[in-house]
This record gives sequence, structure tokens and C-alpha cells, in this order.
Amino acid sequence: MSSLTTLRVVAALVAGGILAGCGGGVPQVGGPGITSAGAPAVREHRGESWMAKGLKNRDLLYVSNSDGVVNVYRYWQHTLVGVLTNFTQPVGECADAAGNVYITDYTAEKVDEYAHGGKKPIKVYDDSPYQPQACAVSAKTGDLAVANYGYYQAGNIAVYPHGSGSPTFYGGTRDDHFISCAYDDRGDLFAVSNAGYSGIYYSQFYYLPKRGAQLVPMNLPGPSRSWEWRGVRAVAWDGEYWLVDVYGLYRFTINVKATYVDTITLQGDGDLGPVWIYRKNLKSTGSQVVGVENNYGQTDSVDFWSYPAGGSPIAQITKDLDGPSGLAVSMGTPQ
Amino acid sequence: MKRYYWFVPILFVLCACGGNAVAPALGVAPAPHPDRRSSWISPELERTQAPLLFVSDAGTADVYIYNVKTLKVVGTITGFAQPQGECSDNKGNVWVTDASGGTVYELSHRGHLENELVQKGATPVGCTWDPTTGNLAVMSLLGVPSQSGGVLVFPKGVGTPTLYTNSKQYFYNFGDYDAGGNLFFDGRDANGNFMLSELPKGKSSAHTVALTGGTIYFPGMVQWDAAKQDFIVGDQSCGNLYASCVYSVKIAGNTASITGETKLQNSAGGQLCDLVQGVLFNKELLGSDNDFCGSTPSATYIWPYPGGGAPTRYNGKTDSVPVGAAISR
Repeated sequence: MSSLTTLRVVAALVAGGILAGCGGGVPQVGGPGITSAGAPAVREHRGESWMAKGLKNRDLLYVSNSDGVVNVYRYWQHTLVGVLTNFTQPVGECADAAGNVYITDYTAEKVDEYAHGGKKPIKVYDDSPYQPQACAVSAKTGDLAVANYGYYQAGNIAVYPHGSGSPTFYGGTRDDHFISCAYDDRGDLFAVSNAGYSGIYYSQFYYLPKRGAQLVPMNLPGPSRSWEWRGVRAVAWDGEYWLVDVYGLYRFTINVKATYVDTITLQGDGDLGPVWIYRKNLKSTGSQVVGVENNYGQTDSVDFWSYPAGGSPIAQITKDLDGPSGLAVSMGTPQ
Repeated sequence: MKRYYWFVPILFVLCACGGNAVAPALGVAPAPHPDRRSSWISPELERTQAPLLFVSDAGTADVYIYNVKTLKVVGTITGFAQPQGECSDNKGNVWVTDASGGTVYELSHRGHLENELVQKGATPVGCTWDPTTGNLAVMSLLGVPSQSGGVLVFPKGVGTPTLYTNSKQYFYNFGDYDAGGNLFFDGRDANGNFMLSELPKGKSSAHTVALTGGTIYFPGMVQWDAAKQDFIVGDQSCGNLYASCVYSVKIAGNTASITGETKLQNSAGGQLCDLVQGVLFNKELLGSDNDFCGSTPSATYIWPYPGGGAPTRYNGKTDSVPVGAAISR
């Protein structure tokens, strides 16, 4: 573990302590078991959504903030080109092959779908009575999967069949609070939940093969025999491997069982949240990774790394951010 | 000597479960030497449309994928616990039963995991797919609903299964549907005697089918032969010896008559030691010999059918304790 990674772990533990009960500067929103990777605090925001013109063929980066705003940046230029408001608590994001962006509104218990560069939602998914934490869209089927955290009860994975507002719910096998999910290019779903026991947030992984009818608990081996998964932030798909995002990116293959491949170290100076793997198209594997770094009142940032090289960030956005918690890239060219 | 040690614990398990059978390996004992390798899929498998033979190996806890024409291994799927019998559908998907954890894995033609069916308490060892309904029948050797086994039918191969039993049958091994959608499956009664049962299409319980014209000592494969309009039923203890053969079995009412026997030789010209499950494909019988008898290495073979005799092709380089076989078209 590099010294920078060590620093990040310490920072995360400190931040987790603040969230869990120290009553510090960040208001607590979660019930029992909510993790530092859970939904960020609600901060009221006023103002109208706006969006620059001429974004049709541009790759756009959407970033959720704890002040209730979603920032929209030109992906390659890192310039702010729009702001979406009208959220209560935007958290997780995902995008489909057509460039539509889905934003989970945790407290409002809904998921808003925006067209690429659009100012108003084109569809709203009523996710009540659950609290959507993150989402993923299958490029194969168009299905929308929503990771529902749950509050005092267990959460679930809600899958909205393409174009449908009626989800199928998939529960875990324990007191699961789902925080992230991802599809591969075949339509298989990988998900992770966190549950708090004695202040330690153990993570449980699940797999839903494309013809599956129930989530299958999936044991992931770690880089070492004594490895335990705690406080996982997100899972993702890079076009070839599954990723587990927890103070670094751990790569796996899954076919009957999970097989560990390698670890990619992402150096930074904050608490790394969910990441997005940038892929030029669906036939290519990831070439960049983008992640939110929440510094809890210090300098928040969105960092860019080469992928799969990792290492030091190659670019950074620091302006106009306020507790970033989720992000997605909407491709200017439909995939 | 190593193979002998394999055999002893397998017999122990069988006897401890209430059966009296002194029989060859069934392959339900825990895999002693899972190789814990990663799955691999060859470029040939990624692009091929050719028929493939999937062989489950309880020794390595892997599934080997063979090119039927060459018997070359083109992929290995790892991560199973106790892979047993297999079956396939008309899309090329293959189901692999895994006696540990009550799991049935559905694999695509290219070996990708499509689905997992989990039924706690079950011991799945055999399966078959019904072309008339798309349902998947899974034979659970033991454990459903109490200590005896049963047949679990998953509608369209997914979801929650329905349990079917023959009250006289205790162990459930292999089965197949006939052209009319009637399910026939073999196994043993509580005393270890071979049994053949039928679950008629649309019925809620199975009944015993009386076997005439010979004796089957230990249940092996069951497969419908559409060309001959009869079943191929395997005996893992042919002649009550450590030997395997298959029989042609004609069904008439509640009677199954043995009308022919096919003897199968290994690569050394001796009688096959233990063919747990074979599969008929294009007038050939494909399957593997779990050769605990020690005369030849365990191997995967192709024999002419119904002629049998010497294999036309074989691969003796891969298998450890081969059990199930299925063709992916």
C-alpha cells in the first residue's frame, strides 16, 4: 500500500467517524448502519437549471453534489456547461448507450432521467418507498438497475425493464444496504451492499447473471488470504473486468466464481467516492477513470486518471463542487 | 494407487446415505483435489459455431469443453464444487448440476455463466431440458423433501421449481423427456435396487416403470433416442461388475423392455470402467470413463452407436474424475 493510499484510508476512517456519530460538520442522514459511502447530507439549493447550447456531440460529465445540484462539464475541457437543480438529494448517476443520464434522488425516492444536455427530466422513475443510492443501465437490454440503500429496513436492487416504470425487486440474503451496481456488456449485473456491524462496514457482493431470477451471493477473493471487504464505494465494469472501488480499484473476472486479477492504485488526496470508467465505445475497454474526491469541507475535486495505468491524476476539476458524491459520463456519440 | 484412494471415500458416502449398493463411483463425494485454476476460453471457442462437448469433472471441480470433431479441449470453466450431470437446450446452453450447495449452473455455448439456480437442501446430480415446454428437470439424488431425492422442475429453466417424486424411489440420478414430454428418470429404491420411473406429462406424481429383459445394477445415463423411439439407459455396474454399458430400452405402458446392449471399450481395448453419463449425438455416443479400475487413464471417448466397441476418438490427457456430459450445438 503506498503512503498516499494509506493517507486516504486514514482520511476515510476519520470521515467515517464524523458521519457515524461525532456530530461534526456534516449532518448525518442515515439510519442505523448507514455508511460513510451512504447518501451525503441534504443541503437546500435554490435556482433554475441551465445548460449551454451546442452540446449535442460533446462528451459530458455529470457530477452530483451534496448541495442538491448536479454540475455538467465538458468531459475533455473540464469546463462547466450546465447546472441541474430541482433535486432534493442527488447521489448516484448512470448513463445509457443513447447518452441519457439517470440521477438518483435519495430522499425524494425517485430517479430522474435526462436527455444528453437536457435541462428537464424526460422521465421520472418512482422508486418509493426505497432510497436510490446508485444505478446502472444495461447496454445490452436498456434495463435500468437501481441500488436501493434502504433505511431502517434492508434495501434491494430494483430493475426497471427498458422503458418500464414497473420494477422487479431483487433482495439480498442479509441486512443489505445496496450502494452500487454495474452491468457488463452481456447484461450480467454485479452489485455490492454494505451493512454495519459494530461500526465496521462489511461489504457483500452479489451477482445476477443475465437470465438470473435471484441475486447470488458472490465471494470475492482479495489480494491476500486474510482480506476482508469493508466500506466498498462502488463497483464498475471496464469492458473486460469487473472493478471494486475501495481505496483503489480491484479487478476481477466472474464466471461461476470470481477470480482476482490485479489492483490499480489511484493516488489522490481525498476520500475517493464512486468512479466512472470512460470507454470510447462499447467495443473498447476503459481508457480513463474519473472519480469524485470528497474532502469534507476542504478542496473537493473530480480527478481523472489514465486507465488502467492509475497512479497520479492526469487532470482535476475543483471549481463549483460541493461534496461531490456521484458521477456519470454521457457520450456525445450514441454507443 | 492414487485412484484407489479416490474410490474408497466415494463408496463410504454412498453406504452412509442408506443405500446398500456396492457400486462404482457416482461422483457425489467431495472433490478431493479442486485445481483452483482460472477459467480459460480459447479464441477458437469464442468464434466457433461447431458442436461442443461439455464434460464435468468432480475431481478437478472443472468443466472441460471439447471440440466434438477433434476432442481437443477448447475451454475450461472452473469454480464449481462438485459438478455432476449435465444437459442442454436447443440454443446451445448447457446446465451443469453441482451437488454441493444445491446449485445448477447454466452456461452459454461459449462457456459464459448465464444463470444459477439454487435450491437449498437439494443434491442435484442430473438434469434434462424439455423441448416441448422449455422446462428444466433436475434430479436431486437426496435431500428433497427429507432424506430421499426428487425431481425439481424449473419452469422455462428459471424461477421456483416444483418438486415431483415417486414414493417408491429414494435416489434420483438421471432422466430425459420422450417426444411427448413425458419424463423418465432412473435411480434406486431405499434398498439400493435400480428403479426407472415416469412422470407423465401434466401429472403431479411419478410412478414406477417395470424393467424387463435384463438387469441394471447401478443407474447411469438416460437419454431419449428420437431415431429409434426408445431410451438409452446406462448401467455403471454392467453385469454387477466394475464395468459400464448402455442398453436400448423400449417403453410400452408401464413396462420398459431392454431390447439391446452396447458394450463400450476403453483405449486399451478393455471394457469401460465407469461411464457415469454419456450423450448420444449424430449416431455417436460421447462420454468419459472414470477409470478407477486402473487399466487406463480416465479419458473422454467417442464410440459408434449402437455398435459400440472400440472408440473412434479419445482424449486421455485431461480428465480426473469425469462425470457428466452434454452437447452444446
